[in-house]
Amino acid sequence: MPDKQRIGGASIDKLDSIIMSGECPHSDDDPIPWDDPWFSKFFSWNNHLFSKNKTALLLFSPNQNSHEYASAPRTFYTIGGCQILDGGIYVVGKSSSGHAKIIDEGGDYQASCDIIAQHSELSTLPTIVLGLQDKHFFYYPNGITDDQNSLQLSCIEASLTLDDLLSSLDTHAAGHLQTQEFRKRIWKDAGKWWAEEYAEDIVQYDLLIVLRNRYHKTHTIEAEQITTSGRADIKCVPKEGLFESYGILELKAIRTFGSTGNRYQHAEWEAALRKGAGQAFSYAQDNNASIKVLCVFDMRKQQDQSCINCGKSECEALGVTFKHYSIPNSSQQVRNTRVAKAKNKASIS
Amino acid sequence: MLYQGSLYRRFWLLALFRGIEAAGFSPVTSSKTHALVYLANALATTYGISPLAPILLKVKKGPLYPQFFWEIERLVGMRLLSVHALEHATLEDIDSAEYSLTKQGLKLVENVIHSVPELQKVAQVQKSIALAYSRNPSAGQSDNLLKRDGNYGDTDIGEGEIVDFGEWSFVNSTKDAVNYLRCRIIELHPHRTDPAIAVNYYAQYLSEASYA
Repeated sequence: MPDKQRIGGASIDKLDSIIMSGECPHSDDDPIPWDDPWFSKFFSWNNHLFSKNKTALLLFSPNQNSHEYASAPRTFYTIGGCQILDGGIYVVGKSSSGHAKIIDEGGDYQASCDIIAQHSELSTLPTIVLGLQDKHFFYYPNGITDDQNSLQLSCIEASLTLDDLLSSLDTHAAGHLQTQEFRKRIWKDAGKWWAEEYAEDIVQYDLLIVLRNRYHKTHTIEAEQITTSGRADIKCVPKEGLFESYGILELKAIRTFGSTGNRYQHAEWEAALRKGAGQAFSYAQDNNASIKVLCVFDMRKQQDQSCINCGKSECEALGVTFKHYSIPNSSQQVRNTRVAKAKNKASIS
Repeated sequence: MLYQGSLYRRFWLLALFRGIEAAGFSPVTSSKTHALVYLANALATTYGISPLAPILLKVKKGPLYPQFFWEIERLVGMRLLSVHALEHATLEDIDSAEYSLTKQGLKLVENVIHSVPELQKVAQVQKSIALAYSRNPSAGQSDNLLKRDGNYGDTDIGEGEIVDFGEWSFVNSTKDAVNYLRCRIIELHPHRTDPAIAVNYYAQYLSEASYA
């Protein structure tokens, strides 16, 4: 009599249990160059390296072996199991259980940057910099030579609650979206108020990393995932077996001018915000999500309140949390935003 | 004709090594390469492509594919793969070695994918399987395959017998186990239909045998 609990040599019980205890990977086409288990390593390595006054640069490459330099030792290093990491330059891949190719073992930040800058193939690889700052590390999606395009990430992990999520969004906006560096990335022609064509994608990519970094222990953070009613911009799915909140974030960038100078009208902004509130609500219903947020990134020349109020009231009616962030287009605006925030903080305290 | 013959087998192997490179798991030892070649064959139908060699001898030390190693040696000779940590007792017998894709090998795979679109899917599948394996390296350990794998761990097949999952037999229990996982995942998360997710869970299931 065949064993009904087995499929050939595979145990059905054990297959069932792995779904409850295993780690759900992201799709093979996931845009982030590293798997989630890397985050815990970044945290512990960063703190140790900082205490030793050393830095480590992790360069994520789809082909470690193609970086063959006369000066580089052909050394492979099993990086995955390391509790601590020595300073240096390492070429690594997507999986945290993989190997690293060591390019340099010094650990001096400036010297490492100089080495990388000499090799064009290395200088454009997505790079994580560890040990430069206490409790924070840095990500350069286009390599360290493109220093306008970087993301500062905190070594703090948390459980997903609405309050924590909103405070993370505020911190991200103040420390990243409303800065000079981000201003240069998000505008095609800032002087003319022409937004980049894929402004929303730029915001989404950065936010995806920030949220994965903070909630990687408890949640799988996915972008553009299909639900019954459509595609959610960001889904925060609790890991199996954990009784954590489910979160949905809908992102909308509203702008006066598109990347070719095409003008958007008031009615289009209102329609976009209403649609966003409806999407956040529907996707949350599909997934029984308790946290549902509409984030509006305002890139309009004149940021009048009427359309924002329309979005707010639509969200209120649907039980969706509304967040609004102005994206500055000039240095003056960056300063104004900072000053306004400081005044606001002072008046609250 | 496209999916047969030595040239296709070489492309198939190079595409697998490309996935290993992307994962950062390179260089990979010969025993791990045998295990990976087995998993790539056993899991191919999960993604809707045909396995290349759905038959092998069950050996306690783990899957063994001498025909693929013949090709690997040629690929080393062609400088498309590089060999590291070579150990051999005699000139003829290689005890162990580690292999990785060279820059030329990567370029060749990408040129082939670009010019023969039919092979894109094969390359994607190879990459997906290599990534799942690299995330769970002990999935390919012989003990774990013997204890847990659908085909290789089937106790109806004794050591020294043939494991057939598609040559003459219609039963591929490894694929069936992954399909079981896929159905269970979809029950819990209706939109997680990507077979790669089930394959990753399967690799975790195999590798977990090390700690059980």
